[in-house]
Amino acid sequence: MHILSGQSARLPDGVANALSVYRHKVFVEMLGWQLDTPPGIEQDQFDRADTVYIVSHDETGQINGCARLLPTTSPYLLGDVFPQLLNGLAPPSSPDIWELSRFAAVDFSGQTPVATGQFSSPVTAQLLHESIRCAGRLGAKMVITVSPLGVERLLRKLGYTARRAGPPMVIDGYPLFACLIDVAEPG
Amino acid sequence: MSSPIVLKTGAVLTGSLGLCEDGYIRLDFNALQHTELIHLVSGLDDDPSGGLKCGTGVAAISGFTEWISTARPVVSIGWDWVIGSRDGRAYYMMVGKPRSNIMLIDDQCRDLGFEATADLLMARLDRLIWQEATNAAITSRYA
Repeated sequence: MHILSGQSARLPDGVANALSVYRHKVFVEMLGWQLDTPPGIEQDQFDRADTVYIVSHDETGQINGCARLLPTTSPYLLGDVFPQLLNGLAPPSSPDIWELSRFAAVDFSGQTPVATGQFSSPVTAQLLHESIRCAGRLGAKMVITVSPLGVERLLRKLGYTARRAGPPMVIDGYPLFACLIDVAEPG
Repeated sequence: MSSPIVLKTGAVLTGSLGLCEDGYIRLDFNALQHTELIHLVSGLDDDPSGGLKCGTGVAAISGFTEWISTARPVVSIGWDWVIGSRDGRAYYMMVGKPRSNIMLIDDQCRDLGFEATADLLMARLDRLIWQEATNAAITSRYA
């Protein structure tokens, strides 16, 4: 498994496009998210020049995982789309807090076992670790995410200090919550 | 400590410093004891073993449950459970420590900390008759 990170302009040729295709396969085709996207491509208004991507590849060079980091000092998913998850608090806007989103570790080549939970496989654990380390290099002290309910306990099992930034809410049938994760090596 | 913000709408938690900028609701144990909690959602865990296999016994049924306060700011507490047996009947038992957006404080308004808060939440939840509501939600959701 090889993991690289950077803004889209700094990714190797072809990676940004391949990432959009991979995200479509995961979020639109596999998970059934109702997103307004061109055929075969998944991008949204938060894919900008300052967005930082984390992309993992298997030994054959196929993408098998991804994540996205956004500064909370610019528009981001939780602040713009899911502010109701913050219990009435204003969405954080701080260079100390980055948002992690579009996290996935699905291996379409079939070379590694499919994860049974969002962070339950070694591959996803490593991708998460690198994503949080990347956030730390960008200056983050905390990472915030919009996540399914089970993520909080899975993160704690992996040794992260994670807690809810507000009460969970059922949105479109899915219990979601805003999760805060300390940027520190897991205990 | 972060500056407190008290929401103006709805009943306010008594004995609470309110919702702070770090997302925690700070309150003392007495206020927690008097906070009414209602069921939000419950669900089953995915079975990583792939489910029942012939001759190997019954896989444990486990899941999670989430409860919230009726007062604002909204207190949120969730925990894991497993179905065990008591007096020959199926019984929901809490597993591990609860997760919440609460930080309990002492009489000097100092944070008790992550672990002490979780331990005291368990004491509060011991007084909550949650098994019936959780069972009803699970039965309704998965029947």
